[in-house]
Amino acid sequence: MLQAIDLTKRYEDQQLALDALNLEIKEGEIFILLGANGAGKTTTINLFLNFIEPTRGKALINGIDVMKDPLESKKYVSYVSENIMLYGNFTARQNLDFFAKLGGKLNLLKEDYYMRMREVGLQEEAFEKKVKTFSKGMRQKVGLTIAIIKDAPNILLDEPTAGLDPKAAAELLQILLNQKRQGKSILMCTHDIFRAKNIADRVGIMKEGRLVMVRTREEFMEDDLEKIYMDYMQEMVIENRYE
Amino acid sequence: MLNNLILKEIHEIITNTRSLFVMLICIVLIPLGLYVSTKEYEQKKTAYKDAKQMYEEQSKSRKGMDFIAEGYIPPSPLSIFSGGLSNFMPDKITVNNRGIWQAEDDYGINNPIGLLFGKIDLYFIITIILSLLAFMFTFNSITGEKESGTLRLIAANAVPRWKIILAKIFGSYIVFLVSYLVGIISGLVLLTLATSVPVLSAKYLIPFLVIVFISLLFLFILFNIGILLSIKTRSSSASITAALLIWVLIAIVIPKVSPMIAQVTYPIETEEVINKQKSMKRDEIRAEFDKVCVELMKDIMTEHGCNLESFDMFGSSDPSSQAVFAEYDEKIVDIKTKYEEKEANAIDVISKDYQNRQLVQQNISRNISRISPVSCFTYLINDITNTGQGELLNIESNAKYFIANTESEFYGKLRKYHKEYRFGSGFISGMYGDIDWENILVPTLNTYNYPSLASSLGGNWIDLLLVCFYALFFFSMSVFQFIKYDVR
Repeated sequence: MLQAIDLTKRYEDQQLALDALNLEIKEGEIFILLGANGAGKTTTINLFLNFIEPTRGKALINGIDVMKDPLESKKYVSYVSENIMLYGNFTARQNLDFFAKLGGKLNLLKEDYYMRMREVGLQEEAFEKKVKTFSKGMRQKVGLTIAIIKDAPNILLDEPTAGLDPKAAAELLQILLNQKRQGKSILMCTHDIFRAKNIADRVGIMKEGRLVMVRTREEFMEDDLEKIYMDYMQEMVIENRYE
Repeated sequence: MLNNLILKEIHEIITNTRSLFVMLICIVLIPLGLYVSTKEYEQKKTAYKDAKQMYEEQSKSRKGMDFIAEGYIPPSPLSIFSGGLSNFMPDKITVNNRGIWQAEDDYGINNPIGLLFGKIDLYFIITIILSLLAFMFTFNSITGEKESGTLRLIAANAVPRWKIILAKIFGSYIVFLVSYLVGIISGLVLLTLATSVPVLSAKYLIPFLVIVFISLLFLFILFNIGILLSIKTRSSSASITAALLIWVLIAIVIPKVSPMIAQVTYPIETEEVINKQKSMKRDEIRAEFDKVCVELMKDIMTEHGCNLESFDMFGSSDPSSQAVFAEYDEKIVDIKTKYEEKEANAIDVISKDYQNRQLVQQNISRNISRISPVSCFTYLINDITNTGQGELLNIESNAKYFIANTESEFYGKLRKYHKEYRFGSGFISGMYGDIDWENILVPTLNTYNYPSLASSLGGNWIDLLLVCFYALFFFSMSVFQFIKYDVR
């Protein structure tokens, strides 16, 4: 379970990146954060991963305060970042092996890695190929396998579909749905409203560091989510123009 | 977990072409540098032996009080590791019958082009080539991972930051170390097979192992500076620019600018000016002595009732003139000794004052340059190999030993047979008596003592301490800075 309680981040230049975020993502739930660049989506993920310290409030992973016990909290979370490069001179399996061991999976066999890579749809011939020869989609699949192989109860994803072709993006989302079925709490930040609609249990729209709207699947299927989102974006453009 | 991180680091580096390049450089350049330096040492040793032998043979027929004794300085055996100042060091000590010594350069330089570009000895390879490669190895160790996003992935796991940075430092250092040690071992094998220098004997091997150990500390400093720069910069391109700038600063600018700063802040005269001062002082004292001699002669002449017009300056037949000369010769001995001592003391004062001021200037320059680890390493290695500043002082102590030796074994023995006789107003001197020439051997410097390893290290304890301090300081800085590092 992921929880943000009054989570606030103000940077040294006084820019308010996140303003009193309150959020709870339960087991088996996919929560998607939508918003423009600078809305506070990545800041939220960075706070959950303890990459930055909150100015106020706290982030909890499975009830563990990330600030107080970062190493313990990280045992219960996997992370997929945007446009991951990995270790180019390592094969896909070697990359997996390294990150799996970091995640505490010390006794996995070659076949275990192969099985996971098959699950995410990576072609068999790519398993022992150097990652520097991979396309972005293939690299992203390896990145997702790294997150899955850790088998943590929470997954954080930061723009995982950015730059992927529609097929690769659809495959990636399918994998996330599988993870959800296994009871994982998933927080994904994206600009991609169409894919968000496909898999989200709840969607939140962020604007200037604030979570300005949250809709459940039932609610956003009834409402016109695209229109709501575009209205918020439009508002922001107008505000910026007159500032 | 630390093992996993270190193994990843090693794996990542050895699959990179940079490590292949370092290995190639070490395997080719280190043995080559050692071989060339050893060959040069062998040539110098042959030149030393030839010069000494020729001197001994030629001098057999020239024995006498006006003979100038020559003590040839053998090249330092450890100069095969670092040439240092060896090409600018005197290669013989000359001593006259008054115990005055000079250090001279006799062999000359066969190929000045070699000096123009600098020698590729082990010291040069470490301080210039390997130091640069150490920076090239580490400049993007953090920025590179940040740019590829792998640092975020690592940091998203339950891995303490200190383990990540330790793995970075030691992983890359181990790979570099292996290349370096392979180069060193290849060099030793080459020297053993292709040269006459017994490099595996304790005389060479122990100082060599000390040099290797200090060089490992030195390279560790550079590794940590490289990693620190990678932590403090935002991108790989900024890291490489910073690394090159810092390298230029510590390897070239600080060591070369320090003597200039010392010259400006504490200027001293050139040796030529000092020689002129000595010459003027000598002339002044001698003029004073001449004046005293004239006065003494006048007084004695007056006592004997002689006047200048009737005085027989050659004293050949006139008994009163002979009496004047006899009294003069008796009284002048003490005065002459007094003035000789006065002259020697005055010259000594000028020399010592100049030496002290030279030492102050050298110390200013040395202390400023110690800001750079390259300078500390340079002082240490060149003094261990007896090719540094310390060797200039060592020549003096060997010269004192040679002076004592020539006096007891040569000039002292001859002095018994050396007589001076008055001839008119002057003197004639020569060797008189039954001299046992066979037992008066040509003085040679048979034993030239180089400082022991312990005394070289003891004399450079500040540099040794600074090298250890820099290693610890930059290592701690890298670790602490990375703990606070923004991995985003």
